[in-house]
Amino acid sequence: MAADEVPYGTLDLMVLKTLDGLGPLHGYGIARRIEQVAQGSLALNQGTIYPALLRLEQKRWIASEWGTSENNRRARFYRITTAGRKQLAAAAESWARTVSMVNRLLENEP
Amino acid sequence: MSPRVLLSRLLDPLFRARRDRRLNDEVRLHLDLLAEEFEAKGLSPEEARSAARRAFGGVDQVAMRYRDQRGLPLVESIAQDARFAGRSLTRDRGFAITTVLVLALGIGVNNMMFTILYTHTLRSLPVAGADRVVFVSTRDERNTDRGLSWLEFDETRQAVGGTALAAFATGPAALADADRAPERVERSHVTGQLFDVLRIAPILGRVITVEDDRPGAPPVAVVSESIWKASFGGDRSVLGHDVSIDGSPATIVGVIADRSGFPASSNVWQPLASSKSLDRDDRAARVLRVVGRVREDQRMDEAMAEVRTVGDRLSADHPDASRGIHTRVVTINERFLGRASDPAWAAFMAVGFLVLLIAAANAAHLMIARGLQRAREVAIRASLGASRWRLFRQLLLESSLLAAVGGAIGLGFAVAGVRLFRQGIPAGILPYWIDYAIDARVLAALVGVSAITAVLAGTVPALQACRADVNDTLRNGGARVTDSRVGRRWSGALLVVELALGVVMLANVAFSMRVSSASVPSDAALTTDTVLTGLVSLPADRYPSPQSRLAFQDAVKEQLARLPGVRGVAMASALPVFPVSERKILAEGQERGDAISVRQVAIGEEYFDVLGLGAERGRLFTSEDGVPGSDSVLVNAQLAARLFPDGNPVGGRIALVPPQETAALEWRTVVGVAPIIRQRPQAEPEPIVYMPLRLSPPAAAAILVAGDLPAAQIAPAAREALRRIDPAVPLYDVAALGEAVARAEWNARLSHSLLLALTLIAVGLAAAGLFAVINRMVAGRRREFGVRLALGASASDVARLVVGNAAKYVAYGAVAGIAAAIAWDAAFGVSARSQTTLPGARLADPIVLLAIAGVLAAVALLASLAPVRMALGVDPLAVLRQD
Repeated sequence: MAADEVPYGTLDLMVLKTLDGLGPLHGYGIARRIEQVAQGSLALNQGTIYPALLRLEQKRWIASEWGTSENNRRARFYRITTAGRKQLAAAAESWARTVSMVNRLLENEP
Repeated sequence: MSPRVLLSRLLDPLFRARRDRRLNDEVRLHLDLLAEEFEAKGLSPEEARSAARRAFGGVDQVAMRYRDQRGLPLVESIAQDARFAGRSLTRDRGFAITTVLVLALGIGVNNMMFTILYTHTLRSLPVAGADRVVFVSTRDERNTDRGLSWLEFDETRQAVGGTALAAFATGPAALADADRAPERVERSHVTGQLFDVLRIAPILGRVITVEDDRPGAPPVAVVSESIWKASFGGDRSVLGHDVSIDGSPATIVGVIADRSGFPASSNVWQPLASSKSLDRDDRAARVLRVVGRVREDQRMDEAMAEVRTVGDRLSADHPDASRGIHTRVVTINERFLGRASDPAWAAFMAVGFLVLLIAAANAAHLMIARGLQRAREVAIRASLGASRWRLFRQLLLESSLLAAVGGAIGLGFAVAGVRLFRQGIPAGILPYWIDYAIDARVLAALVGVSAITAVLAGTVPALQACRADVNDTLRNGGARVTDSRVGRRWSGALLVVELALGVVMLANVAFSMRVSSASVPSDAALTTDTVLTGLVSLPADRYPSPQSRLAFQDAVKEQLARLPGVRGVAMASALPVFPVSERKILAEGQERGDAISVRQVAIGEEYFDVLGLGAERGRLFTSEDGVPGSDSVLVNAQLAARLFPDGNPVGGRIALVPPQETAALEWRTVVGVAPIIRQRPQAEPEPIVYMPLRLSPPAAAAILVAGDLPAAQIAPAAREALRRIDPAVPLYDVAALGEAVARAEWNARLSHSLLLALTLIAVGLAAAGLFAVINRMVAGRRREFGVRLALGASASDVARLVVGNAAKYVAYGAVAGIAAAIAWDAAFGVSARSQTTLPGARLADPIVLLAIAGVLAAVALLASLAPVRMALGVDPLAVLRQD
């Protein structure tokens, strides 16, 4: 199966979920995690994560600070904020609703 | 975009470098980690690096998206478009300069007229807290702007609670002291509250107070800064200095700054209690001007209504003296500045916007023409993926840039125009608060108008340019641009309207030139510089009776006639061309209701002789006229024609109707028809009746001295002679007659020049519009011209084609303009003709209109010169090869 493009708007949700689940991570870590979960079903240009991170930070859903990576390199670590958690909950619920609605629609197709 | 994101974006320029570094660091780490991962999977370091780059995606694209997310991409791309527009305009310099000049003219004229309007109506008076100061006056059927009498003022002041009222009366006076010749000043007698009400503070000493304004108080005076400097050397010792004002002693107690006094023309102030001419018992002597400051705790409308109610109640209580008298209360700004909504000002501003519209339409013509020439560029950009919106924005940005530059140059035009306008107004005519300065609000209007102009002029051309069919344009190499028929029709119609408007304005100018240049035989006599004129004004307390004034006049004539080089001396109630009062007059056999309006001038018997004019019929005055027992008057030809339409006026009997309805008529005999002299600036002569000066010698009189020398050489001796007669009566406004008349005519001359300038601009703009349309026609038909030339058409054939096209518009414009001029003549011709006695003078004069059509034809030829050159410059081979 060919890897799909990241559906529009879902990258934000994936980043928030990742940070919520794993705690503070740098950009590389987030990208790796998303690729792991996708198990090759997603063609992610890893670089696209950075504009997304900036966007989320501008909305104050995540915060960032400099820290040291596993191999002692200077890295920017991102963590989810309270507002981010709220947004994640809302977005996840809305996502679930959308998916189940689309599923029902598809199943009912005669 | 949420406010937070917007804020972050707005702040971006501050953090740009830091954020760029941060992204760089993050990306480098990311790539390193990725490469390490690939190396761990067994790739060589180089392979690992390039695999990392692949997995990451384009670093530059990411950086760009990152920046897009970060700053304000719209602003950045607009800045980019603006740079591009600037480059493309400097490439097409001819177009850019023409368009900018056209827009600058329109914006400049508009801003100049706005500056004048704003200065005269919208600015506040330089009175502290002017919006709470009111002006109180009375009106009746005959006069809408009377003052109040002392009794009315005093009773109103005591009855009104919400407003502090003060009064003043202004008139000429002579200021002198022990060792100086008298100097003519404008003195205001003021009540003690005036300076308080107007919040005028002295720069030296003190102002006039309520204590000064009491009967028996020591006589004091306050002088203006300029009098203080000119006559007292700006020395502090002026305080306590004793002077004589109109022969009465007074002590100077204070100095107030120039440009802060009120009324504006005053330069000496004294307590009203010291006034000798104020009649405190006559309720009908309405000579006081009244101002008031509404108390802070009062509402303006209620306080003004209170004053009005009190005033009207007083009128009702005294029906004898106050029949039909109503009190009028307006803010001081409205009284002295008028309202911008006044129809005359509205018309004035409408002209300003008309010129702006014509300019914007012309700029649109030019831009449409340019749009056709650059259709290829637009098509290429569209095919490379530029969105219509982006193209539209680009083109609108170009017109904005042009309008911005045009606005900046227009400001220069406006400043120069206002300066010229200001120079057309003689010094001392306008009150000091009329200051045509460009301030923030005028600049804001300029910016606003420029922005509107950019949209007005730019939208249609921009829409038209981006609507062009990309495929078609590219396929034929941009050679055959399809001009939109609708657009062409619109700009053609616009052009015809512009030209027609030019015709009407030219016809108006021609008419006004004929009227003002025409004309009255006496005009030549009035331009002389060998007649000296000056004014005197006799203080009421020193010259209370007609006999005393007559004695003064006789002394003046005698003294002046003795001066060397003087041929004759005359006195009159007013100089020629200067406005005089109006009276009602009727001839024997007419009812009072039939009385007609007439200007009345009192003249000494030497008057016409000094002017070098003789009687048209009958005789002029002699020293026998005006003495008791004589009843002679003179009329001019206009009055004779009205009163005695079918007969000889000499020997006819006429009567001036007295203001009191019940008073008996006093019949007088016409002894001659006086030469025609205007008694209003640049208007056609009206009916005038001349009374002998002896009959009732006026307190304010004009002196005319005819000499063999230029007036300027006689002036010093004449001043000295007057001083010998009475040091308290200075000769003022001394000038040669020609100079005085020119001064009196400034208003008419100024409006004439303004009309001429606006006409030239309108015609110039119409010519530019014609040029643009013809140019565009040639641009759109280049291929056709190429084919014609290739098939053997001569240069003159092509030229004829182009000029013929221009001639078509001019012909339409001329026909429409002539029709409009005839319609204008029918609508306004009656009033225009009433200003002239020229036989058959009319706006729609066939010869004038033909001449104007000729002018337009010449303009058409001029405007098609460049397009003809362009048409002839088409290379047939190049055009044909493009197909």
